[in-house]
Amino acid sequence: MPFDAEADLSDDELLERFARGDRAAARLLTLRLTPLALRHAFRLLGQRAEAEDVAQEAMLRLWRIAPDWKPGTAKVSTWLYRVVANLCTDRLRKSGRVASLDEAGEPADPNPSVPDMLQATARTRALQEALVTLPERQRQAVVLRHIEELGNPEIADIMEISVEAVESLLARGKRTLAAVLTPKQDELGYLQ
Amino acid sequence: MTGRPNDDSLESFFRAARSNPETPDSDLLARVLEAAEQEQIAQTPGVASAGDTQSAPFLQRWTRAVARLGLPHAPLRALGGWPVTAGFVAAAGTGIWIGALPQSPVATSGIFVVSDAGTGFGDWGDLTAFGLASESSVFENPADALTAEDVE
Repeated sequence: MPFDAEADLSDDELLERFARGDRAAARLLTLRLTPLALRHAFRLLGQRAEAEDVAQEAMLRLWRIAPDWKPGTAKVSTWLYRVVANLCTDRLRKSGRVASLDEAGEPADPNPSVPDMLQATARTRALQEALVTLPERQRQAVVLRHIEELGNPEIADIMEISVEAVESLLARGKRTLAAVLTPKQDELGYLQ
Repeated sequence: MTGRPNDDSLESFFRAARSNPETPDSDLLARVLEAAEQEQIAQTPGVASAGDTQSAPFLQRWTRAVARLGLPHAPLRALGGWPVTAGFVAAAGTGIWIGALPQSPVATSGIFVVSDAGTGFGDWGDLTAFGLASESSVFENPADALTAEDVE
């Protein structure tokens, strides 16, 4: 099947085609899901090189589970978020560290306007610094809700907890973030 | 503005983060895609990689077996991929086979064809010294040797 013809297929369908040896499906899934895995890993770890390793490992696990994937039972992205989070948790626990802003690379995709770019960069760095101070579960819930913009039911599915538990994690996480970011408002040019 | 950030103020930070996502570079995408293709070869009979030749089916089976055993692909890649490695293995195997093969008395018959069968036995010492013939095979039944008349 031509590459373009597969662009509209769901992740489920592409994964099924991948398992049958379809190379175009492999390319599309790579382009579609690697950014998701990297983005999420970076927000949880705060370190680009480690986030790349996690993204690569998560994608490898996706390829390996493809033959056994049951279409319609779960969203591929939900599965991938969960695997990325688990891999990040393993790394953080093994290293016994909390990711710091010093390890974080410069945020990508600068805006055209220099002042806007600087302000967005400063806010992104400040948020990343605040995120890595949160307990892992709170951090994961906040990232999924407010950066990945997922709904609470899907977050509950990813984290394998109840929706109420997600709401609790979000409330506590945002309270901590607010406390960390308050002293930085002026220097970051915060505008309400 | 002063005061504690509320949801709206936090949203400006979230918005900034959403507008500055980490994006995979081409190297990471290439690594992920390479792993995908390796897995497809390992999982799916009949799937050929871009460099496959007519001899690929055997090599695919071998590659799949390597993958099933969980052996690392890195050493294979370091040698130049499976086509190069397969050639190397074939050459090494051929060398071992030639080295282990028992010596054949073929050279013996050739010498008889070009020599005088009736008077040539005195020269066998030279041939056996170079491993071209064994004395036992020559003298046990010299009547079996070819003569010039046989060839004619």
